[in-house]
Amino acid sequence: MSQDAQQLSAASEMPCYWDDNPVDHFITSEAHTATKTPEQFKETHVDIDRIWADTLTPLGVSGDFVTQEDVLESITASNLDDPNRIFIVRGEPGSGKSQLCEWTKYQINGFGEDDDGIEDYVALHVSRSQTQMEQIIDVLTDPLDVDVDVKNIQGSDPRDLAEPIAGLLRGYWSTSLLTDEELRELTEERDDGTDLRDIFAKNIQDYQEALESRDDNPDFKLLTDDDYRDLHLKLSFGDKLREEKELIFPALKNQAHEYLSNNLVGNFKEQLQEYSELYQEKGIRPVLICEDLTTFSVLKEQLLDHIFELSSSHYDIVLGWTIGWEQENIDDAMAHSDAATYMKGRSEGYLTMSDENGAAYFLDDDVSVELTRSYLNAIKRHSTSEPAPDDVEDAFDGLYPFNERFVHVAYRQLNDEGSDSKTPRLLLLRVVKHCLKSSWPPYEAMKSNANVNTPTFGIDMKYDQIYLDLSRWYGVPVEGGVGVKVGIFETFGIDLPDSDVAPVKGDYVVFDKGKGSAVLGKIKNPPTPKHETGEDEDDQDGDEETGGDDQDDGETDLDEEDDDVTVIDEPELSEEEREFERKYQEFQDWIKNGEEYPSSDTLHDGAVEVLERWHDPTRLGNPNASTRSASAIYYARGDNLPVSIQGDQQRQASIDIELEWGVEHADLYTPMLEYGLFGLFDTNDTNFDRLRAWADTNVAQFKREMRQEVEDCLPEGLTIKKTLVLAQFFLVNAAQGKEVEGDEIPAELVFEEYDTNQSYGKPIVENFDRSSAFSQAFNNLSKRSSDINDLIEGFFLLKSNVVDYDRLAEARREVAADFETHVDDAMMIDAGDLPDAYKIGSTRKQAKTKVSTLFGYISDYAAELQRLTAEEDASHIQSALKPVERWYDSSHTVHDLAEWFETLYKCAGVMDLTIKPTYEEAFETLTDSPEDVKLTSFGKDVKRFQSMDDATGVTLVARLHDFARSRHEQRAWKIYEALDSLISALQGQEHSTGADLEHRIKQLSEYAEYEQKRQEINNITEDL
Amino acid sequence: MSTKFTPASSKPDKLLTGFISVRAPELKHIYNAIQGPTSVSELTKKFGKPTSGGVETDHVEETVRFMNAVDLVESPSGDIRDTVERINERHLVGLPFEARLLYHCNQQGGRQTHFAAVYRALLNEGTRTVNGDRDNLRTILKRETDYDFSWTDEKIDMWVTLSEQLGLIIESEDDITLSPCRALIHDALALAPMSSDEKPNYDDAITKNGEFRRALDWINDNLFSVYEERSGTPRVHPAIADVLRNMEDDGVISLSSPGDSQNAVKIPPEDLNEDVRGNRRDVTRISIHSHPDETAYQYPLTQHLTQQ
Repeated sequence: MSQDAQQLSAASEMPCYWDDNPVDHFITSEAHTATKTPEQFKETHVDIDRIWADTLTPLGVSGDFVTQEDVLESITASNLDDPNRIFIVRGEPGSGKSQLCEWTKYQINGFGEDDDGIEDYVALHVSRSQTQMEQIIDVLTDPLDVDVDVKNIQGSDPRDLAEPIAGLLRGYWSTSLLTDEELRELTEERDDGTDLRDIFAKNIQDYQEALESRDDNPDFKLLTDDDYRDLHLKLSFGDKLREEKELIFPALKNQAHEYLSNNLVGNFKEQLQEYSELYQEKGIRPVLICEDLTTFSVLKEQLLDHIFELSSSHYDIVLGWTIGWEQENIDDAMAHSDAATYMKGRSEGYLTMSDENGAAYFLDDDVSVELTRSYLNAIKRHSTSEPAPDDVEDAFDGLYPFNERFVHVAYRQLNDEGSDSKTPRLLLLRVVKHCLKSSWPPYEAMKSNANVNTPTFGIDMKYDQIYLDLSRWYGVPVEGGVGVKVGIFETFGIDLPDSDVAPVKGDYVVFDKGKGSAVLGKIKNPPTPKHETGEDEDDQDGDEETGGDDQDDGETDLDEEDDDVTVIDEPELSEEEREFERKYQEFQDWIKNGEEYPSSDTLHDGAVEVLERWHDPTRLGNPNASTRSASAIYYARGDNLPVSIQGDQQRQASIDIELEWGVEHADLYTPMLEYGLFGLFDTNDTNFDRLRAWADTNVAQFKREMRQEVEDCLPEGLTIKKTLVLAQFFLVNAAQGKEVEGDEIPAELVFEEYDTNQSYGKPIVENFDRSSAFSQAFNNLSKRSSDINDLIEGFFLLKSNVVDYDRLAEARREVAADFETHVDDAMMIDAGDLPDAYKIGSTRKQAKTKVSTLFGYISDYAAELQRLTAEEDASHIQSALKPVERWYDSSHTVHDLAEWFETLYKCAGVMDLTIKPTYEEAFETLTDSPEDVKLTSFGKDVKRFQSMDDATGVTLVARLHDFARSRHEQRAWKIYEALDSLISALQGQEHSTGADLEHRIKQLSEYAEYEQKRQEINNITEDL
Repeated sequence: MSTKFTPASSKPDKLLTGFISVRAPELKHIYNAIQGPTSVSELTKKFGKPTSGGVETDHVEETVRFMNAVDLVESPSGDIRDTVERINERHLVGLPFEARLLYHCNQQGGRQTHFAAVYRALLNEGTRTVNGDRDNLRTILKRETDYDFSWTDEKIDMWVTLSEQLGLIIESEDDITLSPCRALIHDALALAPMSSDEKPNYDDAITKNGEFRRALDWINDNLFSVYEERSGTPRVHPAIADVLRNMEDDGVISLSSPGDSQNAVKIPPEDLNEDVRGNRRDVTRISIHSHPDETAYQYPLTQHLTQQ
């Protein structure tokens, strides 16, 4: 696609076939303008043929649409002396109320010249801009030959007007709402700013100033809410004023207004009656048209009071107001409770111009085009510029610089500062006038138009921006794509796209639809879940052509010149469909240009679904495990997967899956967007393999990043797998005293359930003070034993009873091969920076334990483990060894020991020494069950405990277990202790050395020592 | 040892889908552990989970029996509980385990043909996905196949799980997507004979202008079904067509239709709403290039092994 096209378009100005003046003249914010002639009104009027009638009594209609003619017919169905007949016309601003009123006036009064309108009727039209007192009276009396002396508020001294009002209230107002005294107090002169004279004068002055400075009719109130509040704060009956504000405030204000108007124009109600009689005398039925009551600042109350007194006079009356106005204001304007219902009940017609969304009923696609056309024609006719050449107008459906499609699209995309109001006025002002007064071609001018949402484009995103822009406004659906008339390119000076990407067929350049148009199609006709194959359409293939003639490449080659392209009609969109279109358009702008993407949640939802559809993306475990019940490490942060949309939903997590913008991703993202819109994938055109490849890639990448982030807290020598094996080993070592033997950690040990209960007790629990650092580190780790166990299963099992042998063998081997280094490495684990999102569990939702906590415990335990020393933490072994070391010799036999015990017993008898139960126990063991005394293995134990000075870490823990086990299993410990105790007791005694004893003692290898000790003891004794 | 495919000398006649607890990961791992004659006790010692009551052996033994049933292994001693060794190893040398296992499953005769029949039945639905509800699958299988056993949930589960792990299908919460993974398609195309004088072999993964129809026919008959419609000019199933299309976009394969070639295969367009004659592409020739070293071109069992 050519670069030139873009440059050309950027530089081009729109050929202009009109002047600015008529644009301003015709397209105004009011239907009624003084400058527009009846002919000009006629020229631009488009029939308003869809008006909702709650009731239109003269035609017997209720709850149906009616036309402007119906309304006119109803209004003029009166007899001369019929009482007042009232027609209420409600609608959004700009929905055509004034236009209808203006048209009605012209129908009744005639357009002039040959057209005299309807006989015996006269329309008295109070337009929105003519609601000052004088103007109203003028309109009312214009056809009558009366001279009314009207003083206007403007030009009068506020004080002069205000004084008499207060005076009249004080002197003449008779009301049941206030007592005489209260009225007197209310109306007396004060100088604190709450004197009614001051208040009225101030409000009149404000009104006068507002009239000077503004075009519109300003609001006029003699008494405002604020004034009323000042009064109730000041006056002695203020409480009553406050409590009965709903009644007193409007009554007071309306009475004041009435006195004012009496003062200015005399009694207005009487005048209305008087004029009515004058019209009757002339045989003319007056039709009073007040197109917008909202803008009545004075006389409103009197007018409403009077006319709804139906029999008071003989008018046909059209009252217009903005929808919603009656809710807030009519009660205030009419001294009648529930005035809106009252008025509705007393009207002959109750008509509404626009729907609940603010869209004008009558303005559908066709009428919007007709409306635009009538204004464009009028503007062009009244311009001095040269008219557009015929071929240009033809290319634009006679709507240059728009075409029909443009008007449809623009009208649908109207967005009056956020509201969805779609009214003729907005179309004319915001679209037609905006573009006509711009020097840019409309497709460019609309880019800076905040009142119109950018429409979607239906062509393939691969085309240059200029073609996207052009097609989104001017492109019509045609067979094989989206067509933009060649003449449009030519008029705006845009190069045609290359014919191989967008061929010319007939009058149109036909663009490929691309995926986008499919989405647009689905918005109108959403996909539904379809699994049951109801309508198989393999009928296409039944008579497949045979063999060689099948060379068609799949694309229909149409002759370029004389092919007629059929433009396909499209139905109107519902609100939801428009909403979807808006979301799709935002997606298009984002993916094409990386622009802001307010509805990016739609794409986000789809992306999350794709990632979770076939994967458990945040789970880190053994990917080959077919059991999902095992535990794993989860990235569990918030409710959602961390997916970010480039430029919009930016990265919030340290790791995430980002969707980048760029047209190259359009095919991939479109089904995701569709999922976000419709809640399912359309199996008719979703290429699941493409989604899956993306999900596979990103999930694998995400898991890699998870692993990376987790392993970043581990020192180089450790991995998650090795850390788990190591932690499990710590547990088994602590619980059972197991040591690393051989070149790998046994598999059964890795899967061993953690259980501290051993037959010989719990040495780790028993030997350390609970408050010691080691004890605390151990407690923390052991509390997480089930997490460790579960993770081991999650990382090393293929299914509940099958081991992932290779995976585990590697970890077992590596940890065992250089065990101490791994323990030292474990001390270096620093999980302080690991996000809390990493948790352990069997599902993402259930994942609770933080990985950082577990790692912290493992690291603490490793550190405390390496801090253990035999001297400090195995002193009980040393003390137990002492008596043994004193007497033990590997040559001893059970028999020897028994004999010595016997001899010592005798000595004890001689010395009169008390025999302790421990001696007896030992002697009994030696004599009754000598087979229980295993001196050989005892000797080994002793040796092992004697050479454990340097032991630390897991070795020391193992020794603690060995010792506890040895104490539990080896009776020799007690025997040597008893022996030692007995001998030292004997040595402490004065004893006669019988020959026999001496002889036997001499046989002891320790005899010398014994002798020496005895001598020492004796010496000490003698010294004493 | 023969280079031809030879059935195991004796093997269980239990239905393949009756091995309800057998899964692809352990098949692959245990198969890899069998190098030369291997005692089953060695395998159970390696792969059985140690428990306080000894090593779990049942499941490993069941896995070995399944491999025996699909002619991956047999017992040299005649007792499958004693020793096993691989057979057919010289057949299709180098073929990744996943494709090999599918191939073996598809060589089975008699009622074991039911294993291959499931995928064909699902493709016959003509859609990219099928509702994964087991009742629905059973309805399809009853309609599309004729066997003297009943399609229990357990059998269906076994087939779905195994096929998913091998990369033939992929299951989500509520449906089964019928597109095989790209690795499997690539291996299938690499393996398939592409000319009349060629036999299936995996040696040379790169092919130029092979006969597409011949390759697809072979894959359809020996690995997994690929056609939605085979009579006349065969039409590739949309789920398969998606993968071919994406691989072509990636430059991994190129499909063409030179003017004079015969035996075309039709590929439906991506948007099946436009799947009418004239919108289908004719392909007669295929060139296969090596695939990129990317996750999307790996088998499911390899994809998420983030370290190894």
